[in-house]
Amino acid sequence: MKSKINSLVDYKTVEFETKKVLKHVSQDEIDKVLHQAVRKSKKSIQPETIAKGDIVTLCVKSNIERFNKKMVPVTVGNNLYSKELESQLPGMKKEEEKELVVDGETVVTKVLSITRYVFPEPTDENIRAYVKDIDEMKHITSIKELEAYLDEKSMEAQKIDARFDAIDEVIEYVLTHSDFDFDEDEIEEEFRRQMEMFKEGAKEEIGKDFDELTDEDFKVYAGADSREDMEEMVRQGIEWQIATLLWVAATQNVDSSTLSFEDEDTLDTSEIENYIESKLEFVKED
Amino acid sequence: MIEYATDETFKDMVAEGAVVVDFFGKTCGPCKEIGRVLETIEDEMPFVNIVKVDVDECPKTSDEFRVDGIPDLYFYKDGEIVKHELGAISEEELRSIIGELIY
Repeated sequence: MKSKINSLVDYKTVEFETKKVLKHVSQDEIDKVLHQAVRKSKKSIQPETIAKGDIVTLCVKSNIERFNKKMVPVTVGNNLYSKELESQLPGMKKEEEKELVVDGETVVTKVLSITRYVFPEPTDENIRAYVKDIDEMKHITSIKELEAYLDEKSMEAQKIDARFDAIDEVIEYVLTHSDFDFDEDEIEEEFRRQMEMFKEGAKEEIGKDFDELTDEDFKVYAGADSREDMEEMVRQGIEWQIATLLWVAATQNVDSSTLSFEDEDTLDTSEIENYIESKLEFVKED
Repeated sequence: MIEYATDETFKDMVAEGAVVVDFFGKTCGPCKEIGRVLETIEDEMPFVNIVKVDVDECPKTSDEFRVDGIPDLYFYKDGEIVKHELGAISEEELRSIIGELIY
């Protein structure tokens, strides 16, 4: 690698948030799993009047295309069809026809059918039946144990996230506060290589030659606003790659002139990661 | 309604109406999460057609779609693909796409 480090921040001097508070799993998350456990035992009923959550079929007539359909299925209150219209449905009966107002327009609405799913209350027995085929959960025998398991899993996930966040924070500080002498030829050579890969990938994925790609293609395929934006992103990415390689190599006293871009996958970053992790302190919320 | 496709049935299953196609693998963690979300959506909106394609059980269909990462979701309207989402997707985003698809 021809690029060099002019000055390097010692990562052990970087200050970052070391105390991480682990939150308990939310009731919403627990409810989702409990729902999974009982969903196969659901029953459907046909109630007299509409309530929020019911699945209804409507016939709608109006001057608006969206509200002019002979038969449209709607889940009342999930607001995917129309929040305004759905808010006026609770209390209506099957076969009832009513003039509802949406966006100031009259929508003649007739209720063709009403269905409601009824889910049983979760029990320890439901839970045992649900977890028996899930390897990592088959030891659970009750709702209480399930809640404890989900709480533990949630906190483990938060610990992993916190480690990644801390590592990212330190990497960003080191790389943006150090000074690197980037070799333009090295960047240009890698830029051409990555652009070739991009062109091949785009041809395979989108079926277009690079010169035919539109701004929309760049947005969908590369998350960039335009060709120029995408090229700038690639160049910045290469500088970041070089800086990371030089830094990690320096921490291991590896001669940077022997480095190549392929070393990105083989350089050992565990010393840096272990140091950062050793500084983290996890506290469970009350 | 959730139904499982085979290489033989896939094309017929996406030919009409609004259909969500979920390419998944049995041992893929993010696929399980998407699967859970799709089951919740099935409970809430049984009128949405959800077709699950196990990539190991349906090699021909998976090859045709060049599935090289899962979960991989396709959204059909009357036999035409109108949207494609590769990788994990939030429940909120999925609901929003389904809303656009069926209405």
